[in-house]
Amino acid sequence: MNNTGNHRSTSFISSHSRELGLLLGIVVVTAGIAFYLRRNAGTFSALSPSKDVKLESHVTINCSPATVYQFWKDFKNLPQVMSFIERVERQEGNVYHWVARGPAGPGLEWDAEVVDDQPNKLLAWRSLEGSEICTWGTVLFKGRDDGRGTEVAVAFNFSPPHNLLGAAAKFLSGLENEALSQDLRNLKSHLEAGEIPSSRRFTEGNQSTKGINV
Amino acid sequence: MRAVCWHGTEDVRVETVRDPEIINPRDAIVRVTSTAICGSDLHLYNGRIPAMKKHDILGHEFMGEIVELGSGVKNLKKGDRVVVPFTIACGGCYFCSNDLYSLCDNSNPKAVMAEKLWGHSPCGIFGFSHLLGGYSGGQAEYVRVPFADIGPMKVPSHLEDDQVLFLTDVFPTGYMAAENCDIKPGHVVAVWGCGPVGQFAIASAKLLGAEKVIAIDEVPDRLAMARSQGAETIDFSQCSGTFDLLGQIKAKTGGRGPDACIEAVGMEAHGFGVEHLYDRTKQALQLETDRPAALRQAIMACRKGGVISMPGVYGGFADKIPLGAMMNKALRVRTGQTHVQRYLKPLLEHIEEGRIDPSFVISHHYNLEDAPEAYRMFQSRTHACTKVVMNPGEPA
Repeated sequence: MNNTGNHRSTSFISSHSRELGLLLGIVVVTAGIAFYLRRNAGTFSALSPSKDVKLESHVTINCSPATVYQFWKDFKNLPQVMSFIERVERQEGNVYHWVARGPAGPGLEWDAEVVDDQPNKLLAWRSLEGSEICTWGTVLFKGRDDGRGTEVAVAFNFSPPHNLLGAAAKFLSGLENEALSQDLRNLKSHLEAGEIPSSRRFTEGNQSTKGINV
Repeated sequence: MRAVCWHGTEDVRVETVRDPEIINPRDAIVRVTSTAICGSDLHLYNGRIPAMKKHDILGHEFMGEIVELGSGVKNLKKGDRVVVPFTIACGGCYFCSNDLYSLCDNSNPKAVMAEKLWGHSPCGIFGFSHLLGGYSGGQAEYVRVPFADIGPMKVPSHLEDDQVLFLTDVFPTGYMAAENCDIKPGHVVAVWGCGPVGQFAIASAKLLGAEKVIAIDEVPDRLAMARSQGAETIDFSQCSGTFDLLGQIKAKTGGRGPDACIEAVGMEAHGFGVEHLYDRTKQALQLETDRPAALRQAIMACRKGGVISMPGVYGGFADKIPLGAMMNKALRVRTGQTHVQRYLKPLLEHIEEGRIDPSFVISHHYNLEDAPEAYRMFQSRTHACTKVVMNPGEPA
């Protein structure tokens, strides 16, 4: 009986080896896709507010370094293109007052001083001591001489205190590198096209056509 | 207004929706007088393009009258009659500055989605999924046209809609496909797919000096239309398999193979036997998004050092591409969405000079209200349907 059973199972495997191979292939491919999605999902998941948040992104803008530098140097312009900044107001001298925009709405504010200013090359800023949050950032402008405009490299850093609570914690947990990348896309569109593209259909209200069928 | 809305696979409906509004300074609102169904709309109709949402308004081939303008548009006025390129382009980025409008950096507001799938985003396109911007399309009474100072071109009043409508897509698309072939005297060009893009590729290859054009399809009336343009034709439904088709192409090219192969079929090609079954199955299991049978044949058929020109639309991933043939035969691949803005004026000149009348591809006129029936017929390729033009606002 045992021999017959073994014989049967051997022939089963050989006659179905193609199907088994295909099945194995599908399993491997599916596992591969799942692994890829998991890895990438991690990239976009919320960052823990207790850790430093470092955002960095790069874009090439079809304008002179002077044009991009001038826009950025007037920090009050930034909310036009930046999704996580509600407004920036000029204080005395080189100090600007920043108000964050985030999932919890405005609630986190700080004063930052421009600590380095090299016209058409670099801007750097840092929050004043005693601010609710320690934050600093840099933007580098590198003009190209091949007609491709200016390479812009931006870094934003937020270093929260350990006891950070409320709006500030929510603001930081919602900050993702992708937001900065989208903001640089907005900056590029603003400077190259004069407006930020939109596929909205209406100036206000629900953009879907749903619900008004007759 | 009335508009053709996507609801799912093989489900389009004509619905009453809110009229579009000016959103940005460089916008215009166009009252549509003529709009066509594109072969690529069938990819949406068949549910092959991701990121479609229920109620999305279809259509990227349309023309009409300017009825409203944003404050930033200085080169048009209300009442102008314009054709609108399907490729939305800002005019200010590096790519627009270099006449590569379909690669515009600034016209896809949902670029992040395209970047995840393709690494970088092309331009936004009307009525062609949220991957390409989520813009409402032109199979409607009114359309919001962004960057209206760069795209729309005024057309002379003595030319009818049917003569200039295809400047919006299929004529430039066929023309760019032929231009990408670098046609020189004596060259033979083979064209896979004799739908409207294939027909304009044939016409353009002739305009650009090809000695011979070989057209490949299986629909009798499309092959007849190709022959009437002076192409030699191969009915692949009469071929016993891929090698028979390749043999017939060799026989028509002195054994060399065509100097350039235009693949005007795209992601839903019909291959032979087991190969077709393989692609259909993988596509159904979502292990492959595109069925590249025509592309495979083109690569195999092309002469050494020749050009593969691909106006056919692909969305994601395809299998069993004969890369060995491509590499060892030193083929060049030219492709892309069409840089429509680049071709508007030169192709309008061809029409005005009488060298081509693009209306020859039109087989049917429909009222916009009859869009579901028009899609069904175009999809099934019955009633000798090559191209449907729809007119909003006219009684059925």
